[in-house]
Amino acid sequence: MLKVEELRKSYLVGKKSYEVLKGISLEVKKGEFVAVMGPSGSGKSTLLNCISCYIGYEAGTITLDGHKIDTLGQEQLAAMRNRQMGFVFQDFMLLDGLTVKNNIVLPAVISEEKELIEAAEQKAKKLCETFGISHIMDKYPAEISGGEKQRVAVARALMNDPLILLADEPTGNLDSKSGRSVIDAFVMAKEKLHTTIFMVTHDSFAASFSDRAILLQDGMVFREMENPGDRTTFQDELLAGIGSMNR
Amino acid sequence: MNINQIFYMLRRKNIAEYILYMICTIFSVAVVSAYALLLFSPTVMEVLPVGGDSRKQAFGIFAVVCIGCLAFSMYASALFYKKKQKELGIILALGGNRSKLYRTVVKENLRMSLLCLLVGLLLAFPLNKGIWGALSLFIDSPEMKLRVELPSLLISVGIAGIVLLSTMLILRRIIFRMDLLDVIKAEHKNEMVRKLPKHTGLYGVILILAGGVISYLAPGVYMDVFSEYPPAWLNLLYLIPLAGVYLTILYAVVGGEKVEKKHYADMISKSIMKFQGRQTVNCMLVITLLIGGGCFAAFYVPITMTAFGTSVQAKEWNYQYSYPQTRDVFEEGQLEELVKKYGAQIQEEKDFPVLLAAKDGMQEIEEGRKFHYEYHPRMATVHLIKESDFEEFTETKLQIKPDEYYAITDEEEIARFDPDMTLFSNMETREEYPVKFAGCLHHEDLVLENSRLYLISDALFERIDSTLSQEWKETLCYRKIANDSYQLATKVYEEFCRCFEPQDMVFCGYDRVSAIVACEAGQEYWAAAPEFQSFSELSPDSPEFQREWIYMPFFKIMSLQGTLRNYAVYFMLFIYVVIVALVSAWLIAYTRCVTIGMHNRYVFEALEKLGASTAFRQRELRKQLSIVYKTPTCIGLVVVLLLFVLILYGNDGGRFSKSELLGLLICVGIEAVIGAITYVCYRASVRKVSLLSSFH
Repeated sequence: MLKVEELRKSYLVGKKSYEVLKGISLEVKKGEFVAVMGPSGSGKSTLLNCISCYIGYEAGTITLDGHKIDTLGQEQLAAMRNRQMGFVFQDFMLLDGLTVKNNIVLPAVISEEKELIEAAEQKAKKLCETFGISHIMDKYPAEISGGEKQRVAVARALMNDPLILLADEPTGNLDSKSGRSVIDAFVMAKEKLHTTIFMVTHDSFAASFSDRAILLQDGMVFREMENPGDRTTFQDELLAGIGSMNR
Repeated sequence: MNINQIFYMLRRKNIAEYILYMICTIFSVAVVSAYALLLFSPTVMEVLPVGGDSRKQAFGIFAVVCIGCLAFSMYASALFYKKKQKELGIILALGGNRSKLYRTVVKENLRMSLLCLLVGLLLAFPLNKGIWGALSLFIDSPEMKLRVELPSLLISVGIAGIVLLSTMLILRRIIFRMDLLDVIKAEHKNEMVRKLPKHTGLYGVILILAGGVISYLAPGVYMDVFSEYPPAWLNLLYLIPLAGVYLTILYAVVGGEKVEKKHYADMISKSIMKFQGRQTVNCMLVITLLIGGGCFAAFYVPITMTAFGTSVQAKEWNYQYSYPQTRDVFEEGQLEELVKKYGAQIQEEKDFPVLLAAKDGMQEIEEGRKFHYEYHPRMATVHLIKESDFEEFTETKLQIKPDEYYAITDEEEIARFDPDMTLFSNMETREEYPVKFAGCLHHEDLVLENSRLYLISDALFERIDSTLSQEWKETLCYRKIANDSYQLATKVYEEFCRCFEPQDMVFCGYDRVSAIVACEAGQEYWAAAPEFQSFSELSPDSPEFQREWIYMPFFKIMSLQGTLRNYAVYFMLFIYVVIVALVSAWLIAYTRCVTIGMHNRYVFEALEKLGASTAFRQRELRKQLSIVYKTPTCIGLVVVLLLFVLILYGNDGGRFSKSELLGLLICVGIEAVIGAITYVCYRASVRKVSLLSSFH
């Protein structure tokens, strides 16, 4: 599904160049829920931004469903972001001027595809039911809680049935209760809709719901950890893994 | 559903922002259009002579207004779309196509802009008519004409087109150059200003004051030292006070390094401002310049009008005119008959002779930018009256020695006179009469508009008079007419002009003595050049003729009316600059405050979580917002007032006249009004930001 090979990315600060990603390779299978963890500056957000096509990179390849994204032009990239990727941001990024329902249908409207637009309203209702936000469909973002906003963002991300859902610290701005509701939404998306999820997070609790966690350190993959089946054990293992990383 | 419907919904939800943006654009178009309508109206075109400095000045002001309105519109567009940037960024982040999004936004903007253009153009008419009508209440003159001219409409449409084009460019830049990561991480971006040395604020104030005085005095000092006209680069000295303004604002925003007693009291507000530093300082600098510019324009008319008003009001004789004795002006009983016809009466009359002689002096000789002075025994014409006529006219007694002369000036000695003459000459016999300056005599009625009278003893007067033909003699007439009217004055003026020959229609810059001396030296006299010859072709009714004719009579009612009309034109020209500058300043300050408030919402949320009361948070908010208004307003108002004080003080050789003090008092009143409106805007900003920060 998603394949990253030998990805390299540097930032120029003044005259000095800092290599943030030092040849990262990883793979995400269809229907898999993968969490990326690591300390600040390890390159997880940069990795996500490269995959999301928000920033370019110097070397390596990113392949989504067999298509290399670095060969695509601006318009094709935009179309790919709209149809094949779903995004969940830390700051929700909902349009304050649109109701919850209209925020959810927005990706379909942007696609300008007749079938998607015609089915959008029904689909929005279904997604709202799935994520337990039907009661706030006609409300504006300013009128709902942070947890609800993020669940609306998840529903919006799934509007066009993307190949992959990319999430950047989805629980970063939320309290534990709201964070849990968002993670539940991710799990539901994976189980009910068979969504592939690639999530960058600091939160070991959120990561413990994933199938697999990739730990990054200094721009390289430090370790990959499979979920043994028990969430609590996996969270302990993740904490231990992160602990060993810092030593 | 489609993207247009999404935009419709967003518009509906953010209607207040759309309205504010549209008001800004309508305001710009309306002001430029109204100004253009006014500038091309017949009255203004008649008042401002073709090729004259005042016309160039008016077009210069118009250019400033256009640039100001364009800058204002572009600022409003940039601000509006900066606020919309997040919406556009989200649409792009979700896979929106930049080109399609650009087309959609342009379409939306085009509809709005065309509406704004139409409303702005339509509003320009009542706006112009309103200002014109208000002035017509005070000036009842049939010559005040307002007509819509094609060039004004074309300029309005052109300006609206440029506004539209600039908005498209801003939009293009925003959409095609938008970094999506900037939008996603926008909440966490800050632009901090580094720490400042301890006395930055003090240095700023010193630079403003010292730089202001230096840049004002520098041209004069340069001319005295180098005997050369100052070069253009000397204007760069004005950068010193500007740097002072910048430092003072910077200090007001981020404070100095010192830890003062009030440090903890201002800790929150100062910290917040520091993190918004660069943009806030830039905005405040622009606000200062706009308020200063607005004040400068607002002061022009009161300062000049008070000087004119007091000098005219002080004259007791309402009719004064002079003519060469070679002409027959008003035949026997002609004036009396005319006055009677208009229901008026001549109460008192006085006529006395004036001799025209040559005076000596130092003449400025220019060689490129360099200049020097040369002594000339016959430099220019001098108008002489005799002691006994003065005594009879003023009912005073004088004792003038035969080799002395007095200068006649006004009470405050504003009207300039020459105290350095040592020699009078008869231009026909070339006989010379050594003289010395004995002092000044004050009489408002004997202060003439286009020449200065000097008083000599009867003995000297007779000596010159006996050898002088009528060619070098004039008669000066004074009348006190009761029940005077504007109609009578214009009729008398018409008859007066009819008594002159075409060769008498020369402008006041033409000096007979200088012309003769230049001719004798085989040189071309500058005022005899062809471009000045066209003066005689002007209609006596034209403002340019009435302003510059050498024999232009003083008819009090006509002079008041004509000058009021001229000032009304200048007032109308300047009022737009005042409106544009001040409204822009207030709007920029308001939007800056809202931006600061929005950026720092989380600080107030954190303060609330830490248990800060609403009153405490309000106080912190007021402290930081007041800086945005207080500092630029204080600097702008004080600096411009000081500048006018300096100019008026320097103009009269280091003193103030009563009329100047009155003018300055009016300026202080104007500043009080500007200050009050600024305070209202500040309160509105506090209320808006309080609402945004959910203080209530």
